Amino acid sequence: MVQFYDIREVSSESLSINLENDIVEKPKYDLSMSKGFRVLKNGFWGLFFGNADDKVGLKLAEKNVVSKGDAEVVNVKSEGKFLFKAKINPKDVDIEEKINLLKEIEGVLKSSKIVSTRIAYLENVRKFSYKDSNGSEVYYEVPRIGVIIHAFAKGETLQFYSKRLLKVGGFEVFNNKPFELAEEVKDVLNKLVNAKTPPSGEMNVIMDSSLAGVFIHEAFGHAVEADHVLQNSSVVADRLNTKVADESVNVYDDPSIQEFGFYSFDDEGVKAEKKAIIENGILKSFLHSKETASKLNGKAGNARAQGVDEPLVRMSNTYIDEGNYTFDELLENAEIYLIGSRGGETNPATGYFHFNAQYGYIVKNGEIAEMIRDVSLSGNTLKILHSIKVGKGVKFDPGFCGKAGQLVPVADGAPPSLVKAFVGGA
Amino acid sequence: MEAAKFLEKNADAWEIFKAKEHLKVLKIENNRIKSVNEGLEEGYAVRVVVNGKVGFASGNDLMEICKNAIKIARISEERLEEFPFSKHKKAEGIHDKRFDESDNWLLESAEVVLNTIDEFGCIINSTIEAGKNEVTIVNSSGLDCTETSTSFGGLVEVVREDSSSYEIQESRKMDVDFEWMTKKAAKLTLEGLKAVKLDKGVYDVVLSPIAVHQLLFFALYPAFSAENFLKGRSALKIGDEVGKITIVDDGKLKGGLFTSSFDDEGMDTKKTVVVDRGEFRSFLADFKYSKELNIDATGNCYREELNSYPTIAPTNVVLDFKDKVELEGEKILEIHAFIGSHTSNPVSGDFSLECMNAVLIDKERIPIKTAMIYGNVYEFLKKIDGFGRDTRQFENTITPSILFRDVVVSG
Repeated sequence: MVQFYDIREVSSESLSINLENDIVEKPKYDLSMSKGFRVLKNGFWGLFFGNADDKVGLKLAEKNVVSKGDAEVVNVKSEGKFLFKAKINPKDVDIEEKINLLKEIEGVLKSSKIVSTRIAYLENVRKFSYKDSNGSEVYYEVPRIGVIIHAFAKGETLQFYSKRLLKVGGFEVFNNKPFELAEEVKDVLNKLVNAKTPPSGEMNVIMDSSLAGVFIHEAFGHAVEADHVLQNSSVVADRLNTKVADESVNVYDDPSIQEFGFYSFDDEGVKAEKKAIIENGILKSFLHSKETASKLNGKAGNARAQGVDEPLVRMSNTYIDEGNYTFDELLENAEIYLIGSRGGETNPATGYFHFNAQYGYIVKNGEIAEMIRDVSLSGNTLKILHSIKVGKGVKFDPGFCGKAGQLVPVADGAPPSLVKAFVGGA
Repeated sequence: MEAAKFLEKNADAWEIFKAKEHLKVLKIENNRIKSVNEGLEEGYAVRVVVNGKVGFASGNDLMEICKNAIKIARISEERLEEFPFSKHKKAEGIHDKRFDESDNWLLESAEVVLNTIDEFGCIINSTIEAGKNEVTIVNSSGLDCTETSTSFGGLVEVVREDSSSYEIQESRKMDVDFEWMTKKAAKLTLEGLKAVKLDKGVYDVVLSPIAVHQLLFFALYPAFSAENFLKGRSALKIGDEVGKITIVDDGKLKGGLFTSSFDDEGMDTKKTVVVDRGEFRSFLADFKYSKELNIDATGNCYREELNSYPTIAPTNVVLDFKDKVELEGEKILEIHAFIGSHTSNPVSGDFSLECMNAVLIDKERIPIKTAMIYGNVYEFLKKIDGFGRDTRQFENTITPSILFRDVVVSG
């Protein structure tokens, strides 16, 4: 017997333009639409994606129910419509103005050491409609926009540095921010090409907001995705309602904040809401899809997909909330200060993580000293969360999370935080 | 074709890329078959040259895409005169007609995974995939080519308590060995339960084919791109020293995972010696950058997805070294995979990577909890002292395990 079905239709319209070494390159426009169908029958999921009529699509999905299983879903009906209105719709802005923005950013980057630049402009509108066997009907439109600034410079070594500004919304998100980021890229690169390699070993490390944000997303966030819990590949699978971090630690996932991971409804049509993951050091909840919520008695609302692929349990805007330490207090006990992230990876089953910072500084006697490059940070998540000292002021950094090969926009946030972890370098 | 007529009239040069994909994915979660997902998608990507400048658009509606490509070419400053015409030598071993029987194959493979894991008492999660791709490229230089290829593969992740491991295998044919994959990941997982701390020190290290690919794909291969070189983003120039190994990019390798008769803009694929016994000999280029660099195109144009802008990427990268070594009997640190390899510095080649499933072999096998290696890929390649005999293809790279001497490893 069919227990549940749903139909998703996603259309995506995107424009991207690169300015590479002052030349407008790779201008790209994409408008695509596809549909995804899921049928849950005898505890087994059959899925089909492609452009098909609803009836045909559901039949093709049902044909893929080839066995029996123990899957179930929470049966919730959701209805709603949400149109995110950008203050300045990018479609009303001439493409020449978008190119001008890139050229002005390029102008800021001019410096004798910078040998190559790549600045990308991106805009996208995702239109999502959803219906299911419980009578749900949901529709939303959300625009996203941003610039990614990459520069390469040569000194003692060839180095690159990048910053990105990616948000939900329209042209209003820019203001002066891209130019401030470009200034930062130039200043950092000019020093980075002559920076030294870092020391290695276990040390007291300050992660800046960006790196601490990546830490909470990668090292902890993935372990609280309930599909990992059900796959027995989460280090916190049996830790619900127990202490997993110092009592000063609070961690939330909040898709309603207008950062890059924003959504109004998830890809199972469930209205988005803020979830407390850790409060006062206690693990309060996992993140759920309709299926994991049914199995683990949780709350759905974190199922997301790239296009019409299979919705998986995902994060949105995930952050460590503000703590009590001033930056100077963190500096007093620090040996290294690490800034930004070139990405990272975690084994959620063991809790071991590994990140690369964009650069860092040696800290001597509470003062920031010389710059270091190509520095990585690794350790065990739970060990670190028990001794973390959280600073003030949450800042978000946007990015794309690539779980199971599906990219979805997210933002990670945190205040600067002090941890004890392994530092390594080239 | 209506679209071709429209483009002929409105563009100086044009190219229509059509992709049709049929994909089937079976998922095993927690030792049970959970779902089968099937996708059937078709779409187009069009490049045009208008007034000597290139525009690109993609999607489902071909006429709409053609109009959008012409519209966006207006603001482009990317120069190109024409799209390539090329004759193709047919690639071998990339199409298995048995794709039509893949429903049964998925279920039979899942049975093998589940039966194999039974004796190990571990949790297994797995995805098993069968895919068929049809690519057609037509352009204003008279090119009109089509090719169908298939791929079959699997990923198994085995977990027990706080230990885990994974193994991946992919093939153009329906010959993936799920028993071998499952056993290998399960053995490493069980071994990992007894893992101990490693003392920081200098070790002779053996990287598995997986680890070799993860290191080189992010830290070395980007430097092979002619575009990166011309834009000042490659650490390499012709004649530079790259260890003592030989690296060949071979787009026609029989049965290779990245083998095709023609690349993603229709150029003939071929064998390019990139590094010859340690000497850097050739960049990899698509049509545009081969002209700018004044070399023959190497057939390395690549589109990651239908809507991706064509770029330069390696195909099958075959590694070779003059000395084969028997790795038995030596004190070595064997590394199965890395965590976080995409964080390597693609420009300078610097890397620092966390090891996964590392085992110290010193008469007996001693599994290691954590180990990190770091360095610069160009220096690191000089430490190679021998190749093993367990050659396989993992993603782009075809290599056996490789022995590196005197590597600093922190525990």
